[in-house]
This record gives sequence, structure tokens and C-alpha cells, in this order.
Amino acid sequence: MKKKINLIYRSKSEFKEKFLHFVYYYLRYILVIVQITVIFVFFNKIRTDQEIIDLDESINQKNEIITVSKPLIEQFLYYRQKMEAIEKIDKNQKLLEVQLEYLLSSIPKEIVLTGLIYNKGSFTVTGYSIDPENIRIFYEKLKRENRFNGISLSNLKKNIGNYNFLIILDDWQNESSV
Amino acid sequence: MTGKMSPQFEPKNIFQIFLKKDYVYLILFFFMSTFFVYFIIYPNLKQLILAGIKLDELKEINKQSDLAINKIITIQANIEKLRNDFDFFDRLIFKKPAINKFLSDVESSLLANNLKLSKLYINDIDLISKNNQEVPILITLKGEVTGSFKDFYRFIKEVHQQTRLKEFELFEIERENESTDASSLKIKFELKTNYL
Repeated sequence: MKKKINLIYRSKSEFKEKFLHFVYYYLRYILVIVQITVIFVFFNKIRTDQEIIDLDESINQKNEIITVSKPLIEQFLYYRQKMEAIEKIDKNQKLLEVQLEYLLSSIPKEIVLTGLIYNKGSFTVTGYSIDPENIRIFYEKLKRENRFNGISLSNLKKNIGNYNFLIILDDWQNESSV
Repeated sequence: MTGKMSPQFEPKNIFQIFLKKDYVYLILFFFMSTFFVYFIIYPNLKQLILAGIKLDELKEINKQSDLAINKIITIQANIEKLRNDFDFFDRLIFKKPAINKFLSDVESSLLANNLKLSKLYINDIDLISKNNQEVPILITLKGEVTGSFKDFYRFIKEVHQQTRLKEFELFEIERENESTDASSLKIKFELKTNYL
């Protein structure tokens, strides 16, 4: 029976030897990767920092322009607000005139008005007529022409010698014509 | 140094470390790798990523600033176009309440249209708090007059034609009884104007 004898010298400090072996054969890979990463980061950081500085400067300049222009912006907003209000009031004025003109032209001569109430776009018309047919014609004309979305006839009462009525008109739908 | 090493330990490449039965190298390799990754690569990459995030944020801010400046240029151009009309806008909607002017406008229109004034009053005006220039402040005038419907209709039209803008909020035209003359109707109205 042959006995194998390892004649190779084995160091007593095996760990040290293995460590050195590791350093020479493996650690270099780690170091190279680390170096490459650090160099990559270094150059990229320089480039990024330069861009950040340039952008910071540019933003500061633009902010200065914005700060200087603040009174101009306030003036613009003020007049825009005013123009919106003007536009709204003008539209409402025209609408009221159109509504009144329409309403007055629609009422038959045979009907006598006793009251007209306007409240924020809605009208309440009260009146009387000797012949109820006139009230029906007036009401149907309003319905047919459909300028107001809400038309309701109420309080149709027979009084001494005439017929009283109350018509509520609201929600004018032909605003685009104003 | 290599001469002292056993030939069986000399690797051909880095991947042989995984083939060895001796795990000391593998452990050392992971230990050292972890050390370098944690203390060198990670902080470096973190810095780079943070710088990248900051750069992106600044680019966005810069873009917004560009948009704001473009808007300012447009605003400036619009203001130059409208500059001559500003005075007119200020006469349509006053900067201050100017109640006397409001009353005199209405009174003159009433007189011009044969409407007999019986009551005219203004309430609920806050003259102390400063106008914050955000919304127009309303002044409501309430009045009671007697006259015909045609006169009142002309009054409405005339008020609408006045330079300072006014808007009818409410009006009530009543014939007190059937025998009342059509030229003496009782009319209540609420007229509003505003300032900004």
C-alpha cells in the first residue's frame, strides 16, 4: 500500500498566505471595479455640478425678472378682473332689455297688466282680461316660442267681470342671441 | 510571491473562486466586495443620483420659469395694447365707491324720464375694509318711484347707457288698484353697481 506524502512546504501562517493570495489574485478585481466606479462618478459629478450651477444662475435671473414684473402682473390681473365684470354686467344689461322687449311685444292688447316683478332673471307677470281666451293665447304663445324654459300659469281666477292671472317666467334660454 | 503559492491555488480567472472547495477566498471576496460597495460605491452613486434628481428638479423649475417669462411677455404686450383703454375701464367700474356720483346718475335719469322719486336709499356698504382687488364690491341702491311703465322702461335703458355700469337686480311694478292711472304705477327697484 502506497502512502501519499505531500512534500510541499506548508507555511505555518496559512491564513496570512491565503490572505496574500486573495489580495494578489482577487482583490485587484474589486479594486478595479471600485476605481472605475469612482472615476465614473467623479466625472459625472463634475458635469452634473456644472449644469446645476448654470441652471441655478439661470433660474435666479429669471426669478429676478419675475419679481420685477410683479406690479405688471398685478395690474394685468386687476384689469382682467375688471374686464370680466364689465363683460358680465354688459351681458346682463342686454339680456334684461331683450327679455323686456320680448315680454312686452308678446302681451296681447286685450290683457291689462297689474304687476310685473323682475328678480334676478325671472319675471312674474300679473294681470287680467275680460276674455279668458286672451290669457290662453298669451300663455300658448309663450309656450310655443319657448324663449323661457320655465313658464307656469297659476292663480287663474274669475273676478267680477274679468279673469285674473299670474304667470311666472324664468330660465331664459336664448342667451346666445344677446 | 506566486512561487510560494501552491499551483493548485493559482486561478485562471475570477470565476474560479466559486469552484474552489476552500471557501475562505469566497468569504473574503464577498466580505471585501461588501465593504467597498457599502463604503465607497454606494455613497458615490448616492451622491450622483441625488445630484441627478436635483438637476431634474432644477430643469423643471427652469422650464416653469421660461413659461412664466413667456406669459409675462404676453401680458406686457396685452397691457401695451390695452393701456389706452384703462382709463375707460376705470370709468365703467370705478376704483372707489363714488356714491354721490352713483346717486346723481340715477336721480338725473329718474328726472329725465318723468319718474317721481319717493324713496332712495343705500345700505350695507363696507367702507372700512380695504378692497383686496380680487372681486368687485357691490353697492346696492334701493328706490321707490311712481310713473308709467314706458317711463320706467326708458329709465332702465338710460341707466344701462350710462358710463358707470349699473345692473338691475330687482324691480316690482304694481298697479295699486284697477282704477289707478297707468301713468302713476308704484315701482320699487334695486340697482347695483360695483367698484374694484
